[in-house]
Amino acid sequence: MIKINNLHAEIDGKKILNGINLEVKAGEVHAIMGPNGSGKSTLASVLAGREDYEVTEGSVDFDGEDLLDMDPEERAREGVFLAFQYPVEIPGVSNINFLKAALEEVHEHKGIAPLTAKEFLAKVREKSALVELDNKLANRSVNEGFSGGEKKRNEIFQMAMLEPKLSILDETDSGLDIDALRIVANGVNKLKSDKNATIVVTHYQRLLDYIVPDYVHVLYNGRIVKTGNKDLALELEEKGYDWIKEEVEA
Amino acid sequence: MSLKKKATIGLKKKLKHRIMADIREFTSNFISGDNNLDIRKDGIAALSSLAFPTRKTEAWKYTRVNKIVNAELTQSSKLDEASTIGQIQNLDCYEIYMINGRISGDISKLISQNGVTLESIAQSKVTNALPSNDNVFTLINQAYFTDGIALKVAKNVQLDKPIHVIHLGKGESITNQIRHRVELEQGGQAQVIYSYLSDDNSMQFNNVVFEGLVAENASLTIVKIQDENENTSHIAKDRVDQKADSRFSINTVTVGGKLVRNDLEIDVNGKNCETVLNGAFVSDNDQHIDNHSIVDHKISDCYSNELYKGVMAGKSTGVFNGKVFVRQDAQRINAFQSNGNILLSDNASIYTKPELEIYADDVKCSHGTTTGQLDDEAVFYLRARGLSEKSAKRLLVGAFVKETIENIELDSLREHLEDILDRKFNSLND
Repeated sequence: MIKINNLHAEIDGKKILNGINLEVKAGEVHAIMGPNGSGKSTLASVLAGREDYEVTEGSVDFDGEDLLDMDPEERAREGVFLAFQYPVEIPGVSNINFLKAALEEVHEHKGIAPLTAKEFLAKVREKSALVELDNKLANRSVNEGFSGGEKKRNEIFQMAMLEPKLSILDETDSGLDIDALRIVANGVNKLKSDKNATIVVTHYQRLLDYIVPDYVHVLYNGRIVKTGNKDLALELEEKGYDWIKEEVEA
Repeated sequence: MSLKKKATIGLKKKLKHRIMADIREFTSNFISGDNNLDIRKDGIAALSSLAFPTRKTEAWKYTRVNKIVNAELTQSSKLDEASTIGQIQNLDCYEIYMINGRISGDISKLISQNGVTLESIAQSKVTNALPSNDNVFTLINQAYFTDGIALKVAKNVQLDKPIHVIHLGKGESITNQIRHRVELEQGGQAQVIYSYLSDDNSMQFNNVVFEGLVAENASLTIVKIQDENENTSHIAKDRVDQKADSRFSINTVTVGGKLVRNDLEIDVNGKNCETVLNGAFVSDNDQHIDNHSIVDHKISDCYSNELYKGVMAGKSTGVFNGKVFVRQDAQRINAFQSNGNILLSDNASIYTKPELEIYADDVKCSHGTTTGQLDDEAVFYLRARGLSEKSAKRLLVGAFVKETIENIELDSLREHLEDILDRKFNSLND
């Protein structure tokens, strides 16, 4: 589904990604772990199309298309979804109206007929139940006055509404208590199918108890330095990242 | 007024004379000042010692009227029939059309409700009801007004439906000198919507005076929509006098016009009054939109709240100057004032100055202004969900400005204003 080849990226002249290679196939869950500052969030941002970053080398193939050539909205319409580490509060813009507009543009892009008002509301009900998001929150301004847990649940709610091919969860577990974590993970798991894929970016292993990855990659200094299965995450949890650093620098 | 006089004015004459002659010259083709109402005479007399404001006139520092006053304008004498432009969907209201400053049809029988009087102001015995810091344009209106609506609501009568006055301009180089008045007796209640529109693309000048007299415990709600073409200019003075326990609110939505200047003057002359001034202005290209306001708290225990939000695109300019006076004996006043602006282009500008002058010591007042650009992070967030950059910006700008119309209770009216704003956002070039 997505093939990242020798990806280099920098911000304000500072090199963050130094040659990432990664392939994710449909139906797979990949976890990207690593110490702070290793480039995890940068990778997520570059894939979503955040314009602050400059890609200096490499390519990203998304279902046969050049992902790096697309605007953020094109990537979203083609099926890339980024669950933000820090979801933005947008006063005055209702969650529902914005999602309705987003869905309409996605459907138009794909040449699918837009949902009727009734279908849309039915979908909102169904998907908000999935992450136990109060209907009232769905109607409020985007993320405004939401608790940390509500914001993250809102991200997964939006993901459920947009039904992406590739979901990138950027530190979705950070700042969540265990109940919220379970709800968020549960939502992600229910949305999983053999047609979509998930990249879970996280600092902590805890989330991976709930969203079980097929592969775990360790990012360090902007490169994937180790790849394993879910046991690697457990090892990292137990031993920290220092041994990885030592291994790389040795 | 005579052309002979005009010809004798040479460039070597003293500046004062030259500017005086400008007002005469400007009004020389006006035709409606010929009946003998006292206020017309007073207006003409007062004008003789005045000049058009220049950049040295503090209140007009950022708003040059040259382009208006150098144009050769006439008033329309002919009466056009009604139209259907500008109607508000699903709003049950009394509709009145004014075309080129003249009322279309007979309005005297439009409202049959007891205690409500509606008439043509040109045919009523109008007096200059409210004193004000008259400027030249207010006096020109006083001397030469064509027509307008005079509404009177008797004691404890609540007007059963809003009145919607739709002003249409059509034809080149016409000035519409429009004068409206609403008088509410004690406990009276009314809502009036004024829409100013263009029926073609010609250059016109609307010069409007509104007087509102709000007696004890009365409640007046005004909505003003300025949606003319971008060749037409609009200068307006809204003067309101509030007595004790009364409520006055005005929403001004300005999206059209070449040069627009609104002067709101609210005298709060009684205890326990509520005053709400809200404004939304969105400009593009070379538009210039200037909102000035004065809320004068003369008596204690009142509340006023002013919220103006502007979005400037292209090479357009916004001006906000809001002044709140709290006089010496006006204790326990709660007065709030806020102006927020978004500049969408590098060439757009805003001059903003919220002012408080407080002479009482037991008050709660605040004022503030912010000017910024759209939040890039929010734009990215919306784009990351599939919205185009344009839709994302439109949504954010809309949310920003629409806060100023949230207070409008009638859904159909609020939706009408939202539509007007959305149409404007869709047309912005950025």
